[in-house]
Amino acid sequence: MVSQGQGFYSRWMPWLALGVVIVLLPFFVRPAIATVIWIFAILAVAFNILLGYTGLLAFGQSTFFGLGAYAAGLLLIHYKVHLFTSLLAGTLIGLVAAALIGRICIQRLGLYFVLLTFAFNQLFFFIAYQWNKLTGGEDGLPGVPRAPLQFGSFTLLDLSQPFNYYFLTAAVFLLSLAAMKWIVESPLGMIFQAIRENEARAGAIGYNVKRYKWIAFVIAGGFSGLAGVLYSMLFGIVPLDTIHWITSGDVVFMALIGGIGNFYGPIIGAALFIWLSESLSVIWARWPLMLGIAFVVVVLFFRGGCMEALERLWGLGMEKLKPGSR
Amino acid sequence: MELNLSAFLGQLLNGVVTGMIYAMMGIGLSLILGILDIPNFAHGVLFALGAYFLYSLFAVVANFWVALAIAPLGVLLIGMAIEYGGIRRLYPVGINYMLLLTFGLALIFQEMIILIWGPVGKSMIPPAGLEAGFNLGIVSYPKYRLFVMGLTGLIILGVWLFLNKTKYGAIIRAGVEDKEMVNALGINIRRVFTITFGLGSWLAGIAGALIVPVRGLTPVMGFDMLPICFVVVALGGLGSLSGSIVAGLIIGVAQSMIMLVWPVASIVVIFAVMAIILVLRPQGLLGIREV
Amino acid sequence: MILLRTEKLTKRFGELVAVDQVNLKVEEGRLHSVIGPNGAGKTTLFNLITGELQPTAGHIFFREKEITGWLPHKIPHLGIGRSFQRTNIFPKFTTFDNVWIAAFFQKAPRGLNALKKTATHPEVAEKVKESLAEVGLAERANQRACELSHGDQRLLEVAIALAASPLFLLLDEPTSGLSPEETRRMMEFIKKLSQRYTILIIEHKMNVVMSLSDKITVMHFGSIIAEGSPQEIQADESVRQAYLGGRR
Repeated sequence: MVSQGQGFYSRWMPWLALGVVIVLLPFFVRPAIATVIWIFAILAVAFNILLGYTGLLAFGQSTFFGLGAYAAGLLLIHYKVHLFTSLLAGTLIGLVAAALIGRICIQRLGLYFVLLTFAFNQLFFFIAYQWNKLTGGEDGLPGVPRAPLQFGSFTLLDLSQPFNYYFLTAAVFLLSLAAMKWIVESPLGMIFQAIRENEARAGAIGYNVKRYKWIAFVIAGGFSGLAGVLYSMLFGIVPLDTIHWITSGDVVFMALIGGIGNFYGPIIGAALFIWLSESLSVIWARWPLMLGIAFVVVVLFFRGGCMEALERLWGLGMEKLKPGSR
Repeated sequence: MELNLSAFLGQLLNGVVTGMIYAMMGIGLSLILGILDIPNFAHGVLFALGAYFLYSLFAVVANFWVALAIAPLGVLLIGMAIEYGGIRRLYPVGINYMLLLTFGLALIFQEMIILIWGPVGKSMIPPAGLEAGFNLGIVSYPKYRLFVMGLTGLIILGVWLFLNKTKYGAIIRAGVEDKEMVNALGINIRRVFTITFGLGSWLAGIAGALIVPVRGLTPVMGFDMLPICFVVVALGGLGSLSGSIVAGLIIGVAQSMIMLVWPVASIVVIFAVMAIILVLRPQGLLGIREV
Repeated sequence: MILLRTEKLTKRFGELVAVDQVNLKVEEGRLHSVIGPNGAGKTTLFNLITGELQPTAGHIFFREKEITGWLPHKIPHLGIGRSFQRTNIFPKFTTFDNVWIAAFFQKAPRGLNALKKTATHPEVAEKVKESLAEVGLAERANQRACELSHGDQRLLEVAIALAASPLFLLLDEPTSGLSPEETRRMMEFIKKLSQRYTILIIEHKMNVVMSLSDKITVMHFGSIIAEGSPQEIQADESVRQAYLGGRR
């Protein structure tokens, strides 16, 4: 917010904390899982720009995540592109797809918006499912190589090593986070929040609300695509689930459980979700039931998510925006 | 590619059967959407529950008709419980949270179905008297499916009569158009919500129950049905009964016919068509509410 | 000079004619009131002017430029500011930010202005501080708008309309829900404003209307039934009838 000054503590604490967690995490969970956490953290924070900041419940983020993953996967498999090219390609396809889909979905009221984003998610899911010559269909797209981090002929980092790939992902995560933080703290971010707080008045004071919603949608799409690229290279395969609507729902859940009223909340949500699903899935095949229950509990009783609970407990003076209801 | 008339007619009729089921699902979803402003993500699993309830009841009472009558009532009760116990608590918080509740419940019910009935699909033969085909001249078409067509037609007519010719139906219709007004008129809008959710759930339940002898049951049938319901509603238009009927039939028949020509693309085409229609006509084919 | 002009402006909702062939003229520099019993169509008229509603028929001209049917987000660019009858602020924003966001809109579309940190727009912050001081809300700058008293919220409502330095203000019942003391404060404020802005105001409180207005337009059932100076309106029989049903 413009008027709130930010103390040194509240401004840099989160980054320090993140830095510590990034370094320590691979010692607590498998590097692959740790990598997944940061990938979904990007996804969840990007999604929260839509939900927490702009008040838009988009139920189709996996569209862009999946498109980014498939695009990068295909480029890497068939054309052996450079790492940066794949990252760029995934982000671009996320941006372009979001621009086109957003153009259509934004026109409509909240209800239709949810339905439409969901329906487009389905559309792309079924295209991926049916077009198995291209995408591998149900079995996913296998054989995605990890392009090394190299400049010219100098290889900086051999990404086939799990730890190396982990740190690359973490680095991309931090950069993305910084970019998204810049955006939400800028006047643009304020405009998004004004739309959430009072859409009609935001229009009445001169903002083309539809255009700004579209901008938010495109931004979220771009970062989702970027996350998708990282995901494609992680396991070397792009599973069909990447573009399934349940993944979209998972992202919503992550943001919610972490706390949509806080910029960093969704990160906690992503970590919690991934860690939980990892731990539970080995114990019980029906673990989605626990997930569903957790979901319902959070929605009914625990709406502020973890961030609000933390804040209440420890009185942390972090940047605070309460979630809007519409 | 053999397109003979009998196969053609058979597919067409299949499309109508599916279309009527889609229409009923669409009507139920549309009512809930219209009056509560939430896309009910649990609508698919309610459909599945109707099917599974029928299956189990039949195993117990060995009478298809009894099972058919009772199974949807079970779903109706569940629907009303969801509304009363869950969604109602979230009125003050906003539609996003109500929507997310239905999503969470969909996950829960989906998993419970697998837990209780197992991950493997099941099938069931049509009840006695309706197993064979009916000779329509060009094609011999299963009697049961004709029965489904007839019954769903009657149910839809019944719903139409209820909404348009009874006082309570008028209240519901008014609520779809303008909730606040209904509340201002002193009518207990919350009860309307619960009953409407129940009605929508009942429709989903009976759709699920009816489809069992046609398509069998699988645990994921609910999740598979959900996107199609959404398409039916988005296409037919919010709050429009006739819209859901028309859209349901269009989609059912289109899906069926495309199967003959380009089976791979059938479902993609549905979504593409929906997208196009919504671009051109945001309120759907026959939508009431302005967007 | 006529700043705002409507020509046979009409709005129908099905059978109901909310605004019926209204020809309104607002002169530059004046404080022009619109009064009338409830349901006379006053707020609907405002909504037509600022684009919240599309007219069924008729035209609206601002400085002789046709703005009929313009969408709400284009209106402030013309130099028109509006406050609402029901408090329409950004509840979780601070008072300062409420005004800031309204003041910023002109800079937003230009290049990447919206992305540059807020600190690089000091002129906007200056303008906001001025507006808040003028309205008397400077001390409440850092309070959340939802925590303000009703009276302060009404002031904020007007401050938001002022934030973008408009030429023309539409104020819809600014004293709605205010105590007599708060009403007096608002009145004085509006009087100050009227020296700098052209104001079109909807009001119910007769003392406010009569003491502030240069010109009064009376509406009833969607049409204008009388227009003139406060003295003329006070003497007008048809106005009395409309309000009081012919009894005094």
